[in-house]
Amino acid sequence: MNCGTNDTCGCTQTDTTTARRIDPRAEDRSTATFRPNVDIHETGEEYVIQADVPGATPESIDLNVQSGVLTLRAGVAGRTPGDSRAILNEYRVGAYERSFRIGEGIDTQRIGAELGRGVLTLRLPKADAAKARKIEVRAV
Amino acid sequence: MLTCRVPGMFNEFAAAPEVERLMSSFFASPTATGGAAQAFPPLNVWEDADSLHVEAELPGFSMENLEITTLSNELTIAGSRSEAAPENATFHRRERAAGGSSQFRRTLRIGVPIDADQVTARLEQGVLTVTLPKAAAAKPRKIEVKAG
Repeated sequence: MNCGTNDTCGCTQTDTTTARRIDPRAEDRSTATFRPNVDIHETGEEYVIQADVPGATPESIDLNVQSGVLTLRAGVAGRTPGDSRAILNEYRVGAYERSFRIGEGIDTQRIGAELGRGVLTLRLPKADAAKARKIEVRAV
Repeated sequence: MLTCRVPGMFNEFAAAPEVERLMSSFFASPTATGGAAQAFPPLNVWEDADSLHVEAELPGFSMENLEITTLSNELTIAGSRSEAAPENATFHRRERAAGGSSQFRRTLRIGVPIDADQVTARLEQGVLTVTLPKAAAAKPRKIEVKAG
């Protein structure tokens, strides 16, 4: 992952994603796609991406790494029964999608993913070559 | 007041379009947090014949972090979330705490009488759903026509 000290993490947004809360009266709720909010932090061992994906289930989540881009997708079905009457519509429900550019310093074979309470946690271990290493100085 | 009516009398008026609109506008006026555009959490509310359903997306919260109360005709949803920051970590993105999501309180005025003892809440995959059963007087009722 090309994470520098500034906020240039290479988190690219695809063209299909839109701001989450627009046009609350739009009728086409099931096909909308949203960009989930994320926190990203780095430790000596790994990068951790936490994404808010309320409503997503483990089965609905699709993670894919290709050409240095990690893409997260999750389909979310509408939750409002068809025979009900809407009183207040302040947000829309739909699929999530977001992509992240990851550098060669990530061991892509060991990326881990967990989902709990509507939060997806991705752990991206650093490849050995990318870890900081303390070099011992031997007395001769 | 609808709640003061003798049960079984004049209930058909509750279904009149004018009354329905009035109920909706009552419901759609948040009382504690000002304008709906900035209020957290955003809410979706719908009704069926038996109940009102209030839904909010609260990823990262558990039921222990949430306080849901009804008082006369108001529903209040409050919560706080404190995720321990990892040690020795450098943050590159912090978007999830935006919008006041780490501590909030929101109150909705409910336009129809509800059965406060039967209110239930569940939290699944970060989605909170509060179900407020309508009081018997507020439910639509079919009036049987008997042959005379």
